[in-house]
Amino acid sequence: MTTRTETDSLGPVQVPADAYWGAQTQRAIANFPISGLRMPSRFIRALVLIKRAAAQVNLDMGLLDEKRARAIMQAADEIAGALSSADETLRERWLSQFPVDIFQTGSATSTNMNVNEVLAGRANELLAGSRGGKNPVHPNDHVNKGQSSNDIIPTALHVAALEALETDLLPALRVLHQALCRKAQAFDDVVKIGRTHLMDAVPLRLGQEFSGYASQLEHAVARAERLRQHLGELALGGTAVGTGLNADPEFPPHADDGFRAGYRLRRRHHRRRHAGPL
Amino acid sequence: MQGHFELNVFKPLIAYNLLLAMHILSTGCRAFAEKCLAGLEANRARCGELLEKSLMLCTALTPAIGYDAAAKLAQEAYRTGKTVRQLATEKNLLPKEELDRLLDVRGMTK
Repeated sequence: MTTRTETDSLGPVQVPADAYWGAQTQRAIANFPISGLRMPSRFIRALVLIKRAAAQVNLDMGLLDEKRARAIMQAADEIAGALSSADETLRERWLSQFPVDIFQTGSATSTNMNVNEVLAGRANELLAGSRGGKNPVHPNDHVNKGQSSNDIIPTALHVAALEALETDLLPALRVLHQALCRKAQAFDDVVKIGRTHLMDAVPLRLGQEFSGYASQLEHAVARAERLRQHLGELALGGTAVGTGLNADPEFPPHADDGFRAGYRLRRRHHRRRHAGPL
Repeated sequence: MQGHFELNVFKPLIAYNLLLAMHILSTGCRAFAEKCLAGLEANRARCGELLEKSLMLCTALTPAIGYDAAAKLAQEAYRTGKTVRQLATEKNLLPKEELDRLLDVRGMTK
């Protein structure tokens, strides 16, 4: 396998020549050969879109020059587009650039660096004609600017879950609810023996039984809908411990707005960067 | 999943498991609704048969004949394999009209 040399603070690392990732991703591949399971594409895509919003805000605020910011955004658009594409070959081509095992650094820093390196690697290819590296776009200094694994990973998790909720789970629960409602009506005239603990109890109509199942689904939908409110709270801008160190004070609100716009999420005015479990 | 060491150490696993579970639940709901529920029919004859044979019908007779007599009727029905309605009719426990009214299973579901 042809390789190229990438470096990080620990020294040089050999990376496959055709890979977009860099030294830290390669070290994570070597350090975590645990399950063979990889991060889901919906989660990676959310991270890529956070990086895109961050580049835009850093550009607007004069923290990142136009050339680098545009290259990061173009790379992010290409990759985010590919990850949600119906074209499986295209999807797989970019998903294969995120090979880090799910059993990795507990904060998913390896995945964050993987995304930083791939975006920088593609941006550098766009700007300098050679894949990977740190020039002119640096994975940490430019792609990760104003961010930390500890704010963007929870943010990506919330948004990916919210997207899964809106596009997959809620519609599916409603389909099931409707199907049960239809049967509750269709079976309303069928009298059967009602049972408790599998023992004959007293009669009920089959439609009544199905209306109970439908009611369960109605509650499930309501519970899932309530999650929106909690998932809509984003940690973006808090950096490592929620205090926002190394992020410009104006970065969090703008990055938050920009990122939400990409996902068509409503803005929440109470941002809680020090959050506990539900 | 706890925040040991001031930071939850299972973030990547949470992401993986949560999104996988949501995916499975979504596809599972749809598959169940489309491939099972949509074509589900009631076996009306079997529902009626199980109802008529059920010893619990004696429960509906308790207001008229009392708990003990109803329990005896159920035990005898179990032993002989006869239905509650058959036995109650044979023993002439109640006028036919009242028996039919008490054993109206549809009425019991209102």
